[in-house]
Amino acid sequence: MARVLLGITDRLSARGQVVLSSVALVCLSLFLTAYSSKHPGVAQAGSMAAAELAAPFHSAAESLRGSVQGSLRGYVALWGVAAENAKLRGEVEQLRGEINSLGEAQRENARLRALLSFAQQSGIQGVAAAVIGSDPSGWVRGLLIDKGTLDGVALGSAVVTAKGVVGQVVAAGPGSARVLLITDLTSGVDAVVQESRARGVAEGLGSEGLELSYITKEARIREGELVLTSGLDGVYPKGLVLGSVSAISPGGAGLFQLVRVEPAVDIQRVEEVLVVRGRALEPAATGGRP
Amino acid sequence: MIFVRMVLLGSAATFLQGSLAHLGLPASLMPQLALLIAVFGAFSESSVPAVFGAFSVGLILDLSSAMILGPWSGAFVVVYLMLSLVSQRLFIDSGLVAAIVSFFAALLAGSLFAALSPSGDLLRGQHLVMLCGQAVVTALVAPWLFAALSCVIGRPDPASLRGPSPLSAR
Repeated sequence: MARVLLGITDRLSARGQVVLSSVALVCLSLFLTAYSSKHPGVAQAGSMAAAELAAPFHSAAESLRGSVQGSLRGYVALWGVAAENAKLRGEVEQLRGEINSLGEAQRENARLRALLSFAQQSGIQGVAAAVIGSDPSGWVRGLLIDKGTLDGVALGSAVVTAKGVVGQVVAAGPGSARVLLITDLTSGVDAVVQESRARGVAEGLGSEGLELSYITKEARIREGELVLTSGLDGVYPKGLVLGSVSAISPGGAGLFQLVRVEPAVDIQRVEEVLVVRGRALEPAATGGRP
Repeated sequence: MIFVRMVLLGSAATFLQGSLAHLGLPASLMPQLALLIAVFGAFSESSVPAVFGAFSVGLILDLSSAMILGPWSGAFVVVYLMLSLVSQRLFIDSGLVAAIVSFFAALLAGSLFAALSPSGDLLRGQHLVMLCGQAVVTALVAPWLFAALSCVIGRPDPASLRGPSPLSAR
């Protein structure tokens, strides 16, 4: 059989070989797509192996970004003191750099204090983690964090901040983990509206926030009401803030209203998160809508 | 060897895309740098290792999302194949040609990804805007990136399309 195949490839021109191997690889891609959508663990394991390799580079890039940002702020601040002599300017630059570093540390400290205070008040046990990367393609809403299974992060763990829910862990390696944001198109959270107690599923809409699905037309919902996790999906603890109702429309002839929700957390700016412990799920149960 | 070089460049491109996203660059302005490596590969060499290189670059991008394997790798192979079939007829040294080819390559790859993705309904509304935005930015970046790659690695040579390439080990 192998001889026959080798004979065929020998007779093919270079271009024919390219076409044949391309067709074979497209078939392999289709197979991988079908297989990994049925067995998410495969993609998660592969992804975490890649993430573990890339994590040191991401951490280094994050440190570099902080340094460059601090230096740039120092230079911008120095534009106003151009008349100062070179020695004093150097000293001022150095001091401003230190002040910026301290300011950054102070702001980080404040954010971590808020996270700790939130964890204590809500009774949630979790692991504080720093965000070190984002999804490169733009098509998937995801983050990379610097804590993994060695720190107690488990597959399916909810990821939150003091302001509200961020997402859930869809892949966890020893030293890092990938988080699928609640705004991703494939994400869904069982939710309840705070005042009216109407229940629905908060589904991700990409950059446009969330849509609260399956809210019947009888439910009296007002704009600005808080939308909370119901705790019934087995992933997110009950009572965490998802966002607030930003728009309501009747939804035509259907049974349900269209309810838009503005996420409570500005996901583009989130820097530290709390990974909730003790709610690990099986791989097949993560990453999808409830 | 073209395969190794494409994989290394693709890894760097994916890392750079991730860093840009982390710095707050909107998804609709994200240049598809990894795709451009596959496009440059198609103009550099039409060979079986290069096809595997394009597949691997796509797989790296798939792996960086942890959601599903296959859509980007399949899309990159299709883009590579289509471009390698016409690469002898295009003058890639022209910035305009590079931009136009990259624009359509980004549109094609994004559409294929959306079609292969299990979400199914990606080619609507904001995602359509994102697809077009990414294609335009990718087209703008392509001439500069290709020029840089030509300086670092070597200029794509039409005569090499049936043999060793600038990306290949000499």
